Amino acid sequence: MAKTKAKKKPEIERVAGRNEKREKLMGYLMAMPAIVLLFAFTVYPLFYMAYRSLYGGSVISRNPKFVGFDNYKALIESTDFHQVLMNTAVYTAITVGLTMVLAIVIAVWLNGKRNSKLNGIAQTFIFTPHIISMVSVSTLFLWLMDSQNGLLNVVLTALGFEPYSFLASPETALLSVSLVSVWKGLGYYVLLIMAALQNIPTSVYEAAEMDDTPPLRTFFKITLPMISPTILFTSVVAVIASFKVFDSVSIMTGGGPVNSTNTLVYYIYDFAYSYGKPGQACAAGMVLLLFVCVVTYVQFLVGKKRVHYQ
Amino acid sequence: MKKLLALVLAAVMAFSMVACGGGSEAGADTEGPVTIDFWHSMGGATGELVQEIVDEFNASQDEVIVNCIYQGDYNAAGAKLQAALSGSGESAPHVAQIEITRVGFYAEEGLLVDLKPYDDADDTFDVADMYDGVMDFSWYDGKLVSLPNGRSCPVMYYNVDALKAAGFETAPATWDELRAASKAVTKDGAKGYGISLGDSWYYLAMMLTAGGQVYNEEGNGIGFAGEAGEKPLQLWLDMLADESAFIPEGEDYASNSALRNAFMAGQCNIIMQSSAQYRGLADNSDFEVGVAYIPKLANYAAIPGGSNVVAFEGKSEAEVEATWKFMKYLCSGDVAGKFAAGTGYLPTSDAALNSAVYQDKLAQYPYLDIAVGQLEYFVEMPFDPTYVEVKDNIVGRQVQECIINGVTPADAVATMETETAAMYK
Repeated sequence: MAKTKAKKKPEIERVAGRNEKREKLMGYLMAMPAIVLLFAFTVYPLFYMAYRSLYGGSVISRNPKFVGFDNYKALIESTDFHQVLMNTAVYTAITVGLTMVLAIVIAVWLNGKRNSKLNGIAQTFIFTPHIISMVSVSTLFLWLMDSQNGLLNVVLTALGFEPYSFLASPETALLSVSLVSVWKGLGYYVLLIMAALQNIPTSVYEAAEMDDTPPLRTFFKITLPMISPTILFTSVVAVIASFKVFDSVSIMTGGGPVNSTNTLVYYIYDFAYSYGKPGQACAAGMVLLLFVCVVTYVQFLVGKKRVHYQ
Repeated sequence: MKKLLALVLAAVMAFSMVACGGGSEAGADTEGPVTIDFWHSMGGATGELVQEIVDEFNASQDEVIVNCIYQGDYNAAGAKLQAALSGSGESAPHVAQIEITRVGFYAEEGLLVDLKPYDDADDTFDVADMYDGVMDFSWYDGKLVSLPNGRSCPVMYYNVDALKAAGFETAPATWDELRAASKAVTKDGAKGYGISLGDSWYYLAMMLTAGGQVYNEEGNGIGFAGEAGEKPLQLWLDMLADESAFIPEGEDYASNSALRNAFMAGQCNIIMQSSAQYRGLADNSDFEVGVAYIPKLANYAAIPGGSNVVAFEGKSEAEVEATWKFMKYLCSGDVAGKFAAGTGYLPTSDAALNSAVYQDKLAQYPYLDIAVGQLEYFVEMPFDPTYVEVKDNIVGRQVQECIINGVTPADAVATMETETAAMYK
């Protein structure tokens, strides 16, 4: 009698326990497709990339040879690769820097109460490029920026300026590609920052107004700190996106002229498929991974000190 | 909740079905026609011509059905082909066009079917009928790994009307005449000569006429160190300096199409492009388009280009049989003649050259067979997987360093020499 009593849990508890187990199982089941896809398309390729970077041969090689760290050595010795890293860094600095500054300024402007009708229209125009495919945007700008027949130069010369070389010269090509990315990406970041702005309690601004705080001071002491978590998030996303730039480079410049717009991911593609050296491409992929990790980590470190969560 | 679960499961199932559906389904034992896939790199009007030829083949017999699939330019198609051939290679096509300098890349891995037994057994077709000039990328290690299809070489195109107006009755045949003619037709906002800077093929074509070779005799370095390599760069620099030349934008094939657009729009009057572009240029320009050999400095020479067709290993015997039937159809006189007549690609045999359709078009387009004359000047090319990186990443790059970035011709060629040699160490 006593035995069974100790063994048997009260009826209610047992049912609850079973339900809990069932719910847990159900939860895992529901998450399963996502987890499987994550493993198949993110985790496995990541490890395969690390493994493949130690081998020679081409994509179609049946038995690639183990070469140790030769692929990494080739990267370190290659002046091309140094230029590619530099290009990627410059591209990221220009794109992220410009995008963030412009996005904050425009978001604050659009968030203002005045001219709400005009603001609505402006918002639509700024956001629209985001929904167009990068391939179309690149093709369009390829034509706009053509140094002989492009619309931009037609306008420039009509206004009495010297024609600008845009994509034709190694000095200007990287900047031109960056500007296209800024134009395309801006609307998305404006939207995110506007959402953050709308979450700032009006009471804070009312207090500032009562103290007669000048607008600039309000901006730097209230607005910026209040939206800093969003700024951190958007800048992390923007940096990673810039590191991975491919389609605009592939369509607008093909990495040229003279390697001036060759960026990390385009380099990886070229080596894997044009030159038949996927080992070296994977090694470059590992470098990309390392860079993204380091930069994101640094951003979060800075964020810890500077970002104010409410 | 249940609905959602069902939806997720359905999505996963649909996904896995798509993921597994890439395999070849044409069974060897099934009765009826065998279906094979053909990947090609011919866009635009040429692509339509390829489709027309395939349609005619499908209609001409009931044993083989060919799926004709356009896969982008040589670079894009090469990437897709490699992706399809990695792993089990089941999703690879049966037959594909490959840019000639990349045939060795696939042959080296043993992925290409040796067509010699099929050719030997076939009484209706003999590969020996093909011109020698277009068979340079066909024999690998004694195996017949590819057949010529879509073969070309660079030629010079010129605006006949503009040159006549400037007093040039014939095309420039030497570098000096090229410079003089370019200067003479540089006026009214149009330039004389458009330099193909994004594609090293045209630099190499000029280099050959200055007495160089693509590779040295040992096959482990460039064959144009010194003067032969420097002279074309100096010519281009001089022509840019006196403003009778311009550089179109873009890399690779994008720079070529930019150059052709400038030519058709009358913005430049002399360009060098693949012979394959002849019909496209002639049909879309409102002036007479002339074709001539690449002007010479020391001697005439021509660098081969274009694509060959190959068959891939790993298919059933019936499928390879079907593939052979299609490949020999592509190379047969009438079909090769039709393809050459519609584009400007080289007729690959006497049968193609003498075919009614080719001779017909020749009467209409008198410059169509100029490129054929260059066949006798064809030079030997490296049959070597490393060559793609050498021509793009070393030669092409240094040409740009010299023309755009101010590196001297001597330094640029010296860098080509050392970097290429390093690739073969």
